[in-house]
Amino acid sequence: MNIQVNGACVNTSVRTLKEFLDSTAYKDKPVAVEYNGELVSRDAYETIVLTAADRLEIVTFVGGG
Amino acid sequence: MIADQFRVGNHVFSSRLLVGTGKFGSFDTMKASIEASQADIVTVALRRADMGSTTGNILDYVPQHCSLMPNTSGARTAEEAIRIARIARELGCGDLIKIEVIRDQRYLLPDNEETIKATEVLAREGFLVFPYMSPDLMSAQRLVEAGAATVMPLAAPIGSNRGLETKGLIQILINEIDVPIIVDAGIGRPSEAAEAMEMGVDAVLVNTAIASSPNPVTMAEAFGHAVIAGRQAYLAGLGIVQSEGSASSPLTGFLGKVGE
Repeated sequence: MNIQVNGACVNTSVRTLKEFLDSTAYKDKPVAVEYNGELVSRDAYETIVLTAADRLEIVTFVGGG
Repeated sequence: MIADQFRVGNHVFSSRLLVGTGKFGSFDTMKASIEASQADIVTVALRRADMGSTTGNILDYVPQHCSLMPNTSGARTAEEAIRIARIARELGCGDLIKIEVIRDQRYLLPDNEETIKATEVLAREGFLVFPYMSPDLMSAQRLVEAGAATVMPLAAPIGSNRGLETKGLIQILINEIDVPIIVDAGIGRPSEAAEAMEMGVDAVLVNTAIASSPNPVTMAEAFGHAVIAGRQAYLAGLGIVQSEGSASSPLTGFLGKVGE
């Protein structure tokens, strides 16, 4: 199915949000995730089942003043 | 000797120099600069994580003892700042937040009104709020009323290296505002950081002047010294400024003239 990740269309066949993150380079990065506009806590990643057209915002720390 | 502690809320920080992590040429340089500066609080921003990126995790390059302060850069409204702050907290690095709400893309001047609104919400949610603001006394008072732990007035536009352009307005805040004052943005030289500390501000935040220096590590060390020197001078008490000269040595006992 196709989902939106950080504004880009991504095709994936995994079931849960956790599986999706583990299948990408995000696996080992400290990230925070908004799922369809809602901030989700880390322990909820396993319970969220992805569906087509879901929107993920995956955010991390970068340099800044 | 009485210990001079930099306290914000229940936190005691070990340095009155805060440093930003933007604009460094590499994470290694950034790390070495932070260490050389002896800063405690270090700011970071939040952005979309690039799935394909191999640049590494910035947090691996921030010394362990440092306190992380995420900023809400990118926010153009209070609502966006609140959203970013909550995301930052989810990343699990503490409750400090620098509120930065900027709609003006030319001068990067902060929106005090939106900053006050965001402060109200985030202070209520238990964040230790460090609001970046334009040094207006009324806005500073409203920020304090809204629950800000500090106020962070700008010296000059972000990245401009123009020094204490708002010196007079900062002095007014020093006179009237009871929470710690941290001068943030525009400081271009260690001497300017020292000057702000001599005036009586509680801390300064520097990013561009260090990161953009040809030798960031040395510059970071210089800023560290400058902030300590400025604070010591403030505590020691500055001398009176006079219009005429006053001699340093006695006016008697001069040597006789040659040939007398």
